[in-house]
Amino acid sequence: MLAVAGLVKTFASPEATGGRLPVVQVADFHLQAGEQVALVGTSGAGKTTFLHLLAGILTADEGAITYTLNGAATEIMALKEAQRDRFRGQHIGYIFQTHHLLPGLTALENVQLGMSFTGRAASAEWARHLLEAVGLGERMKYKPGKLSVGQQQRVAVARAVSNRPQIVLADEPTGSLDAPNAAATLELIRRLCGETGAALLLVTHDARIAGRLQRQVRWEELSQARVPARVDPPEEARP
Amino acid sequence: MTLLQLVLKNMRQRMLSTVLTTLSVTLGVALSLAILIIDSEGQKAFSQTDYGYELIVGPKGSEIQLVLNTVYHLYKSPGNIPYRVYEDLATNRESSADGTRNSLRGFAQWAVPYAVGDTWRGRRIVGTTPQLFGVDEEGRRLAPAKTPRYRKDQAYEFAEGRAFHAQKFEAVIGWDVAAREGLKMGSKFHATHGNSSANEVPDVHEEAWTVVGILRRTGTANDRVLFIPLQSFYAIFEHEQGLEAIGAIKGTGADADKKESHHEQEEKAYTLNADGTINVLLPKEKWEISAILVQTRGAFASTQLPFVLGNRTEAMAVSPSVVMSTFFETFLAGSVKLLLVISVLVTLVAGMGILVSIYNAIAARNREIAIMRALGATRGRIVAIICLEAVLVGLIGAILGLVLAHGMAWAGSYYMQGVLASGIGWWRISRGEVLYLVIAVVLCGVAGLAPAMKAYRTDVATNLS
Repeated sequence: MLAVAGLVKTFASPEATGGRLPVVQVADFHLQAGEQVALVGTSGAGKTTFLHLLAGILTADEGAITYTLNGAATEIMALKEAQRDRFRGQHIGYIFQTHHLLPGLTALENVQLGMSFTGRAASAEWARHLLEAVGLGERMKYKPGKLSVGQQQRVAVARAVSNRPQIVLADEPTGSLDAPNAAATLELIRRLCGETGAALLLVTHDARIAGRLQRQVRWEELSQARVPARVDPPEEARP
Repeated sequence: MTLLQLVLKNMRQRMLSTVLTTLSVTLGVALSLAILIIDSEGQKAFSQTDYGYELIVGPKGSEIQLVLNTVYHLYKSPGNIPYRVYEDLATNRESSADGTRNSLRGFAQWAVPYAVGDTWRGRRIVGTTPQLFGVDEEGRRLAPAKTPRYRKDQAYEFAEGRAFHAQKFEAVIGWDVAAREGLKMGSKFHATHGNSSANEVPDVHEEAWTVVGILRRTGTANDRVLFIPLQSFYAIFEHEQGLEAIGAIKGTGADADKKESHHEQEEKAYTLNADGTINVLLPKEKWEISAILVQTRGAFASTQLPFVLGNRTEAMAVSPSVVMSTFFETFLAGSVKLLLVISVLVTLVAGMGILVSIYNAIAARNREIAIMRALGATRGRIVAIICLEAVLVGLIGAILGLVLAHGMAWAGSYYMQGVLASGIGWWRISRGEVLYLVIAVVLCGVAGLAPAMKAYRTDVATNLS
């Protein structure tokens, strides 16, 4: 379903040499439909940048990212920015490390927001069903500020699958949660992906979390790029 | 969730900022529209072309004072003209042997004299003839062509009663006088000489006029007027000339103590017949009037009469519509235009307020924009959200401004009604207003472009990290 080939992403070196620093260098990566894979590695090694590339938020310097959905292959690096945005809205669910909910919207509205950019009619019924599925049926009208961190992340999970994506990209979704909440949230993500048939690529630095998924891929083995210290790439990260 | 719902949520989230920005647009729009209303409706009110008469004949001097005094019953009379000017105008050419070059005969289809100087409770009393109300001195109805009009095709109508008798102490009152001052059919009132100031003892005449007719509302300053017979006006005539004239008749002359004994002299200014009619002692050749309303026999007469009068010394003829439109253009239109420029600047400042408000909000909403982008919102969608917010603020501000402006116009109209008995069409929305509203909303949308472009450039990856 997802095939990555010869993917390279570099950023300007923070040093004054003017050189480019490779952050992502993935020769080959595949993900099957419905497969649940953990991408394990240390923080700041380029995993988030890899997810941004897969989501089409960033563009690669080299390589191809091809999605094969319903028999049709789409190479998203060949798409224009607006097309990539629409592709993301229709086919990809994204879960951030912190929930990234809109503070002015209720839990229900935040989930509906995930359906707003799909080009399809947003169903309030489906959004309610998802919130009930994540155990927040009683708190649909609550704004994020009135929810606990764990509850906020569960709303974010519901939002990520609200557009019925073919793939969910989860970037350290349990990173800000305590152990019991982390375990519960992971199960929730797995269950919802299973129910909706979405593939899951979950980035984590926690081996225990990774161990619960079908397959584990070590980032250091996947990417040849070696980021020496923490690099703040987004200076040049504009698509 | 639709785009509009999302925008409304954003606006609600920043309620204070949204309210203040909308308020600034409201005030800017209201100010501009109020000025546009003054411009259009004020011009209509003061530069009307539907006067029921073409010319006003009055003393030489200020044309605007003559028109304001005669049509709107404002300010003091600019002076008097001999009654014989009216007689001359009112006489048919056919019935006269006067063929002199400067004769006024034959010009008028109808002419009505006005004599002013007295008031009742601050409301003007006008001495005139029954002809003003469509009847002759014997109370017979006049032919339509001879019936005076206060507006084009609009003659006075009675709500109650009839026209006064030409030689009795009777009165016909305007609608507003009856409605606000409580005068009814059969009520009596005493006239006050002039319009006494606050620290002055009012000089009230002894004669009492009886209300015999109440006019229907005309929507003009005439609604505030009490009309009395011209002859009864001379019966209490106490102006210098009148006293002197009466004194001359009686052989006493007007001496230094005439002021103190004027009531005694008033009693001698007329005699009362058994049937209640009066005989004025002041000879007609000494009568003076303030103005004459004249409807001419045609276009030639209306252009010739002012020239003919121009060759005489005692009077002039002016066209009220020309005088008022010149007055409006000279004194009011310039000020209105200046105010309009100021109000447009206020609207521009309000537009800048939108720009600053949304721009600052965007700086605080970078993360939200990045989240929406990550969820699949295109840059175009983000720009649309920001611009729609600006347009909505502009639209709400424009609608509230429209309501406020017309509310102010209503208040202004109410005030004018009290002063002139003639308001303005405060409810009318002119084309200029609609155009201004469209421009204001578009301007607000344009003001939203700068923050929209800032949002357009929001870096997703940076703001998600």
